[in-house]
Amino acid sequence: MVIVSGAEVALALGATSVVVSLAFGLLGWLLKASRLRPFRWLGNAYVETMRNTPTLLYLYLIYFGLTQFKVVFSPFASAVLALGVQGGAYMAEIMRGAFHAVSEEQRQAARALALRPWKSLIYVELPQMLRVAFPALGNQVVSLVLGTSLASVIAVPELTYQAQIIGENTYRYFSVFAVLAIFYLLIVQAINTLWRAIERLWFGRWRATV
Amino acid sequence: MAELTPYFGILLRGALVSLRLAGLSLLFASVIGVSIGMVATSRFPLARAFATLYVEAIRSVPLLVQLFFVYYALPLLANLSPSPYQAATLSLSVYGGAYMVEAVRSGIVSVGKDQWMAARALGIRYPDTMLYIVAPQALRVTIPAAVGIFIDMLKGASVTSIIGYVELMQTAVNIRNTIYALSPLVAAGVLYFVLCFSFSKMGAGIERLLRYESR
Repeated sequence: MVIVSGAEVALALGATSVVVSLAFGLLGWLLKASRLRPFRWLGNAYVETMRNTPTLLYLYLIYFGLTQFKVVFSPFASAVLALGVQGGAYMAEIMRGAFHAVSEEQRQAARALALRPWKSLIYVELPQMLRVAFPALGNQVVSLVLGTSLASVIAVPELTYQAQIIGENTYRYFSVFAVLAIFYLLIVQAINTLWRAIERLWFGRWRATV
Repeated sequence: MAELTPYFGILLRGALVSLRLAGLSLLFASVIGVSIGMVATSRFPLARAFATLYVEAIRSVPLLVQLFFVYYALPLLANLSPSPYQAATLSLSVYGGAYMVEAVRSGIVSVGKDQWMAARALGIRYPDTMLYIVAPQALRVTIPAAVGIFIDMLKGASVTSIIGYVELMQTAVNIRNTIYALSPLVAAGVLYFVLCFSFSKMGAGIERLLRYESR
């Protein structure tokens, strides 16, 4: 089934973009949290630029725009980069928010126990940050998966692209796009359900604290 | 950059077209948001389920797919063929509407139950309670959220270029295809940034204005 292979490509694209956006998000957050003013400015500029411009722009810029500098990415790589760079800005904000949600006492307690800052980050702050940020992370994963549909404009053979091809060949647009919508609906609801289950499993017994 | 100068006017017009599309859709989305938002907070479980179904279905399907559905599938189902502009407005309204429902719902929920009970004790009916007591307080939550939704719709308007509606994004792509340069896309990006960033600053200002200093 062509449309199932499209779903596989969409999921692979979504998963890769999530990983890439986490990397960009970490970079953006560290820049924003830096003690040096130019770095902070750079971090803010990155986050604000990405959040105030459409995803489609980055797909076009990376796929069509960079060719004039003799930089050619495959459609899949362009889509990963575009979704990752833009999703990174949202990830950076999620990380920043989660870091601030972990109370100052935790940091002070970690210092009092003579944990070095990076050890305190890994063992004390990050686990608590993950718990605070978990629902927002889930939303971001969903919006990246929905964003993969845009990759059809640069001919990444994902769900939407395959559906368009089938539609053009059979001219049965109604059933094709209805099936397409149901595919996305199922994928997104599956992610939501999975996310809630993981949340219960990992953080359920701590729910009373915070 | 010099090659771009003759096209500045067209790009600006593209930005206005995007703004008009997002603005008109915001208007329709607000109507949807307020009416279905009230359904979402009603005491009839079936009505609430319908509202949830609408919100969840729209938010689980990419805007592009909704656009394709309206533009390609609807003409086959019903005997009408919408223009790209009509299809874009319809999809963007229904899409933004789902997010508006959530904004309106969380606004109404943010007003405490005690307000409803006090109004009931005073013998005020549901429509008057909603209009004069709950709505003014709910707007403190709903309006800042609505600004965020408008920005998303303005960015989302770029997706309508894919069904052939010539707004800012498509204008930039068309210019790029004429002069083979990166600059039109960058210029479109700057325009999007200026518009969205000013709206988000405005939204933050409104939010500050509406915030209670103390209760």
